[in-house]
Amino acid sequence: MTRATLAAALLLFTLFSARPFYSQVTVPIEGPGRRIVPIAIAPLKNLGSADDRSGVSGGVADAIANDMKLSGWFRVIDRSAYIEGPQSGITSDSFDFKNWTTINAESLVKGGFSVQGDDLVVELRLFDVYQGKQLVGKRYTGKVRDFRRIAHRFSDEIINQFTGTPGPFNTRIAYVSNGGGGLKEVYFSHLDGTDKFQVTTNKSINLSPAWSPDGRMLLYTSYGQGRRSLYLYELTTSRHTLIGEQNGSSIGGRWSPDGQRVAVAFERGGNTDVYILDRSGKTIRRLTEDRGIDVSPSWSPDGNRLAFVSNRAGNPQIYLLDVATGNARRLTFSGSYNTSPDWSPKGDKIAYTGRVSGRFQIFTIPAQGGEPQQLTSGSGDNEDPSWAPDSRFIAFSSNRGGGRYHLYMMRDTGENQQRLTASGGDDTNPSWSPRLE
Amino acid sequence: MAKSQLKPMPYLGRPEGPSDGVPRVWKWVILSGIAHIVVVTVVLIVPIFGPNPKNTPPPVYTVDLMGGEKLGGGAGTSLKPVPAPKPEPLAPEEKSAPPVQETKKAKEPPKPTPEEVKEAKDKAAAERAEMIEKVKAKKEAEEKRKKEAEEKRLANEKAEAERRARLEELNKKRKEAALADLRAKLEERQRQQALEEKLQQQRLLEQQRAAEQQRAQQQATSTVAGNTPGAAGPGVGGTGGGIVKSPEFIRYQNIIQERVRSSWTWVGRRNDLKVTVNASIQENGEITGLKLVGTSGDRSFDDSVLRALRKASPLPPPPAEFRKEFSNVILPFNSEELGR
Repeated sequence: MTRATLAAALLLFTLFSARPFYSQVTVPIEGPGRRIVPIAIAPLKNLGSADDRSGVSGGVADAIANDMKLSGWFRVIDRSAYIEGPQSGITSDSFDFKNWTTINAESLVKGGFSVQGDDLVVELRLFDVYQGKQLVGKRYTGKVRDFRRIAHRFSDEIINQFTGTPGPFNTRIAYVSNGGGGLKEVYFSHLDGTDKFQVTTNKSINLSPAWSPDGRMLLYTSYGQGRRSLYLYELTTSRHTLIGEQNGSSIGGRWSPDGQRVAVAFERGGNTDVYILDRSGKTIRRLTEDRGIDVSPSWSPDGNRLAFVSNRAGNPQIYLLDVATGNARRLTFSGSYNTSPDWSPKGDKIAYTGRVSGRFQIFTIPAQGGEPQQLTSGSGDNEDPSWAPDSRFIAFSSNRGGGRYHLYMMRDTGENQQRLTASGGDDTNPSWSPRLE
Repeated sequence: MAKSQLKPMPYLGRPEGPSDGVPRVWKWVILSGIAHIVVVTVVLIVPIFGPNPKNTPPPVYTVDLMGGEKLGGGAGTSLKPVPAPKPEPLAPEEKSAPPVQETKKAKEPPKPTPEEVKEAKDKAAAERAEMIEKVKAKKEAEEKRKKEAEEKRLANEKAEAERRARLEELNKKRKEAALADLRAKLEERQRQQALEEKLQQQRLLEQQRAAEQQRAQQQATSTVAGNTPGAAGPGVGGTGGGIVKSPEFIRYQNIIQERVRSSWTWVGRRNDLKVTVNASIQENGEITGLKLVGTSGDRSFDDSVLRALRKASPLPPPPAEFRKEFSNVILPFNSEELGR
């Protein structure tokens, strides 16, 4: 029966068609071929009627470009290679992505601004050039003088888009600079050294700046009155307050992560120990009681422990101390001179300065103990590590290349070491602020 | 019979019913078959071309940096939610939209109109027939090749056996002639044994060589494509699948792998991220129909692999005989670099 045959054929056909006709081809891609993003950053378009007297257009683009370079994750394509003029559109439907694929940009920053008196509106957009789409767009409103801060904020957005975590550029770095002379004053600036601000002007020796967790206050140590004292500086009011006990000398001082306590080394009667103060500077507890010198406390991110330096075993080594019990255990065992611990915000590592062959180098060591990793090397000294809030970068000071100390930053692997400051004096004691609002 | 004709489907349960009902039964069976085909087509095509929510652009946010007043930036500064990705020449998602509509239409009707059915049937049938024929032809060709090789080997063996038989006969005759001399006979026997041994060895050797040749030939011409990466070399081989692939196939897989990987930039540091993309490689090498299968959980990673594929497009055109295969490619991306 032909009909039955036809039906049977159809039935078989249907059954057969339920399976794929051909096997799918699988091509596994193991690991990205490249780890540096080519990015183009166009000067901003003036969308308002007022002239750009402060140089916002190029200034924002330059600041972002510099941040991208400092991060080590981007290669900024030189502006002279750009095909598009400054008057092209800044939304994805108003310019041609081909102008950017042609110069091998994978990502693109475009933006516009308008100035009115002191006020500034900036909008910035990050595009995925090959997908022809916008990854993120932001509008910022502020004062014209803050245009670099706006740029750094957007830099962090860009890094967030490419790494899944915001970058560390909307921050400040506090440090000590001697301006070429013997006196040391505390300053802070953006990470790229711009918008520098002088905190102390007492023509004395001021040391060890440390940010509060909200980024609104600084602790520092000053030799103002013949002995070292701990001061608190409030950025909003510009007020300096002497805190802590006065019948001895304070050294350093670090805010607890909750901002409620301060750990400080205090010297009294020839013995230096770690103390905990409350916000007003009143001593809550003495944490170490041994005969050695105990200095440079640094909080763990949960506030339960402190890393500090002690010479109780004969030479300076890093120890960890349980704040609740006061019990301390030694963390570093290699090298005869390990100082300046800084606990990473993530909590897993502690950065410190160690001496190798007569030179100081930056190391990290797992907080639970283990093998230290040396991040710097070479003929100069590298000192005073300070973690970025994202725990992916470390700032430090170095006199590499001979001469003055300057601030540098690097990846927590030691990669991509980049100089930050270029003052005529020695820049030391960096303290990386938390992320700013 | 007028009474039963009023009922909508009187014959479905009774194939032995009146003769004028029989064509209807078959009509329903055919319609049912077609409906099956249509549904199956929908099931096969829809997941490949479905919309990709991952690609919808994020909205633009307003951030007041200093808590100041917002300033009039004029019309130029207005940030509207940015429209869908601009159709790029490389691989527009939009291109893949029509099949969805088409198949959606086909999904709904329990009773498709004859034209639709015919169209769908013809199209599907033509495609299927083409595929089946191709698969069949390929299988047949391979079987034929194998058969021929086997036949050749058997023929060789047969010839060898005959030669040996002739030699044996010759020897026997010689033996008979040398019956008088026992010693000579024994010697002859020994010689014969030696010869036999030699022949045996030769035969084994030849068999081995033939087998080796065949194996080599198979390796060269019949690497099988499948769902797992090949064990050897930098290439992508695999198991299963059952369709025999040529070196050209493997070579093209390697081209995809190299081009995509070198176009792939990702700067995150996690080494445990994985995401799979389905894509289609057109005759001209264009990579289209990109679709993320799930997510790695990290949008920056997901974005980076889509960007890599856009950047890698166009690839060189796929080998003509494997266009169908490469029209449906699965690309599993892994953030871990081997040997890192």
